[in-house]
Amino acid sequence: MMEKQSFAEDCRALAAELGSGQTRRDLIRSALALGVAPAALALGGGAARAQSGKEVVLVNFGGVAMKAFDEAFVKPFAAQGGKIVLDGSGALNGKILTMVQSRHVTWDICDAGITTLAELGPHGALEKIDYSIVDKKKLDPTFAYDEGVVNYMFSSVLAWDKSKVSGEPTLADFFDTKKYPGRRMMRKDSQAMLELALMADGVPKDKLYPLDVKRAFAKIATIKKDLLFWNSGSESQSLMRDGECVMGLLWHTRANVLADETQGRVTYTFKDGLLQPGLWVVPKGNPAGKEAMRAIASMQQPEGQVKLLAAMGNGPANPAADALVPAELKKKNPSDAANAAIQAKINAEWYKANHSKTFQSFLDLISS
Amino acid sequence: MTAPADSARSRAGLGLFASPQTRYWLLIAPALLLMGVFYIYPIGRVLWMSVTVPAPGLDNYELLASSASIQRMLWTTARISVLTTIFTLLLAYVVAYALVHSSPRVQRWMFLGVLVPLWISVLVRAFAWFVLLRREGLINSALMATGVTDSPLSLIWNETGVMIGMVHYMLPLGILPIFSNMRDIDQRCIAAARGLGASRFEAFWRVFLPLSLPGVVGASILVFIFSLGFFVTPALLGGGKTLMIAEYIKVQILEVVRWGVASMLAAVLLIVIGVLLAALSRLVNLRKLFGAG
Amino acid sequence: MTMTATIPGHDLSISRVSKTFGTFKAVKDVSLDIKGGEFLTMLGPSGSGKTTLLMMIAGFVQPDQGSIHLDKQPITHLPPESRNFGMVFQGYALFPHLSVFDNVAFPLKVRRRPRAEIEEKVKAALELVKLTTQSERLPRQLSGGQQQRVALARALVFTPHLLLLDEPLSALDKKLRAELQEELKRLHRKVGLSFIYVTHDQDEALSMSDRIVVMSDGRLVEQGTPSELYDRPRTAFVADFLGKSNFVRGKVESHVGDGFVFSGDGVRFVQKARDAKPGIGSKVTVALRPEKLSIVAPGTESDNRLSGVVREWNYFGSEFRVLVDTAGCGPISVSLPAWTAGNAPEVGQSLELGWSARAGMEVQEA
Repeated sequence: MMEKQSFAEDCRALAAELGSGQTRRDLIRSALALGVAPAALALGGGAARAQSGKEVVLVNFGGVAMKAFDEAFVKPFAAQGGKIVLDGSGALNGKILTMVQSRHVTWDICDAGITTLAELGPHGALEKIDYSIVDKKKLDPTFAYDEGVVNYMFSSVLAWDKSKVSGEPTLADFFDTKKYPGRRMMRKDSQAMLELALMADGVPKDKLYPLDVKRAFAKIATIKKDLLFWNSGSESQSLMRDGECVMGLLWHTRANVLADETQGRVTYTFKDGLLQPGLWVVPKGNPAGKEAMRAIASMQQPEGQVKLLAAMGNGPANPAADALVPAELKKKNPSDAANAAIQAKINAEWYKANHSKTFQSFLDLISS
Repeated sequence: MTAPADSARSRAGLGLFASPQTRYWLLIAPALLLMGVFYIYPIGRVLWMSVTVPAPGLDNYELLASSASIQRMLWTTARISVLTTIFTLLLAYVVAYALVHSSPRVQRWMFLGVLVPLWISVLVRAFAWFVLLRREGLINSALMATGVTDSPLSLIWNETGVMIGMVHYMLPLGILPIFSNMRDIDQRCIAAARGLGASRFEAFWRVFLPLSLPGVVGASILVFIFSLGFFVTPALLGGGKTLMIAEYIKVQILEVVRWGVASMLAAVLLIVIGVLLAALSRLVNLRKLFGAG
Repeated sequence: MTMTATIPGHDLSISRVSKTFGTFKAVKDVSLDIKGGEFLTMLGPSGSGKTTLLMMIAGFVQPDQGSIHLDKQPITHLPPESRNFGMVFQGYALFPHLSVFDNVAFPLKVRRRPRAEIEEKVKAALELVKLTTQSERLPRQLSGGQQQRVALARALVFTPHLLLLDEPLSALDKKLRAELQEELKRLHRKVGLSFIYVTHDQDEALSMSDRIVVMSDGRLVEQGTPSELYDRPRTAFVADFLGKSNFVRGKVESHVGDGFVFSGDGVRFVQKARDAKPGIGSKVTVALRPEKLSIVAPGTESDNRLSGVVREWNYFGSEFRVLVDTAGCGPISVSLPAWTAGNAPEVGQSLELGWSARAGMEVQEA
């Protein structure tokens, strides 16, 4: 089924498209990437099971991400004497909760995001991260939470079509349809969209939280009739590529690909973007126990994270990786020091208390 | 005295299979068990959750009366489903009418045209519509090239787009029951009407149309039920702004983890569909409609 | 309501019509005139073109060639609804969703007659067909005979120019069929319309019609009153199709009185000529009705004699049918009144058949 994608899920889809040399107009492949593939993979993915306490089952969204994860994480951990088994069935919030509530947990580490933290934390469905094993020095402490720890970084950015928008627009211009007429798009989610709306409305990027939801909604409402809302990363890509929208708020990974495939017709900026972490979370009562923490610690090595950046565009979580990133990749890396400095950072605490309610109201706003 | 001994032996030999009745029950038992475990039980769980999660009581159902967002979503769902049903039936009726009145050769090709879309993924079809309907798509390009319009029409990313996609998806579901009903109409009745002085239109209006109504009723309930649960097309062609019940339930389950609300809405959908099917079974022969007759 | 009074009939003239479906020539160059008030039956085996001809009269089928006139007005290309012909279909074709009343009212409703007139005329039409108590029922709640009556009432209620009936009785059992044949004749006399009746049942044709048109293979083979066609058929086809006939074939040897002598396979027969006597040496076919033959005692006077051996015999209540293997003329069927059962011949018995020179019918082979 077609669902609203998480960033982690889209990484898989994007990697699949890049790996297969997808042509610009290959819509059927986009359709597959959108929804069918995750469902199909889910059938086969459950096979990976932890046999002993030493085997760690890591769940991501499958596809080509499997290969990238294998190179970046599985092999280095094996070199340290550990064992990670990849499961590509995708760890959606509802799936993790079902597993924990039925006391039949087969996953150790899940590739997830802030909303997983926000939705599952209150249900007590996540293990605490053991920071005696996971090294807080090897990450930006902003993104080290009790029940989740950063694994890579991504960003929500402003992209525009140079053939329709002259100059370099700002976020404020995104909400100014008089200055730049034409359709815009944003993600069908409150996360990041509210932050960007507030920045456009003049809120400084270090004073966003607690979010003024009302103000953000009011800002979005001003251009509602010119807005489209995308569900999946590939959808956001095709809307920009095919000229359906003049500007869009989308993930930096998709923006990078767009810039390449349109030979620069579509471009983007990290300025006033929102830097967000992909998180490792551990379901309550995971079979491998503490071994999961050792696996997470192993994955903090900068070398593997740089491999992931090269393969899928995900920004390294370990600041030490900066030195290893080749020059031509630096400008595409959301967690590069220069890029990170001009972006806002997401605040997970606020989402813990507010995500469900805010997302619900956001859906009301756009569907009314 | 061999007879009683024989019957005693056969009774002992048959054992469990004492009466034919029992035997038939035993034959369908595996299927029943499967249904029970994989169908009835989960549905029961959903109904149960709707009155127990997060707390026992009818709080979830109370949202139907108190939550403006749920009411708006239900209204959107109902409105789109009704409109989809109406447009689908109008088109399906015309196609079925043409099918019934074509030569067997033409009929075969037309059937292929009706059925082929059924075998194409709903995602692919939605994307095909995207190609046709978008701002720089085939239809808008053609309209502007021929000077019919100056600026592109908004055919997609709104309810118009959703409706086009849904009607297209539902057409075969509308055509088949109507066609099967029309095929059974005695053509001599139409000839009789003409012979008795009715014009072509009047023969249609007074005889053919009333006789084809059972198929129309069946098709409309079928299409309406399918429309209610539609998810992919509204999500893809609605530009994210058309929120129907299926997507709403999905969000509640997978994203915001409000399972009580989700199961309540699923229960509501289940009840509405159950009531519609009950009404349908009173109006037309369901076995025939679904091809078992 | 003037249904009991005689309505002046309308003349229908069919002139040289043909119709081809694909490669199948259904009707070939048929001309036919139907006088006002006549009961005309089109008789023929299935596939003979009779139904196609009826459909051309009704307007459902357009002839490829030829024309159709009603009272000298051309109606060849008029649509069915503009012809004002009543029609009773095979299987009745009642409207299943309408009550008996509404079925009968249908032709009046589409003619936008006032409500009171509809009520009155429907009531009269139902009385005419003796169906007054069932008017609120649906067709499927009626017996076959009752459905037939509804179909008749519906076809007559709007005072059509003529009434077309397509095998209307074929779905009924034999007894009911006989009853309704009587009924139809009574109706015909009462309403005075031309009835054009299509059937493949020769008994029906013989008992009801003023005139019969026999069709075969798309052609009009022969027409005439029932007795003309039965007693003096011109063609072997009609002699055999309308009742049964034996055929004796031979060559003319000589002329005698108002007849001629011919011989087939060495046996010599005398036959009265139909019109002009056939030339000496020409081939002739003579049809013999089984009931016109008799078993003759040796030495008895008879124009024609033929000896043979009884192969089989069958009892039919009112008659015996005896099949006799003859020398020279093959098996010949003889019908004997049942009261002669006492002296019914035995199988294997030799006997002589005799008939008069006037009993045979000189016919043309198709």
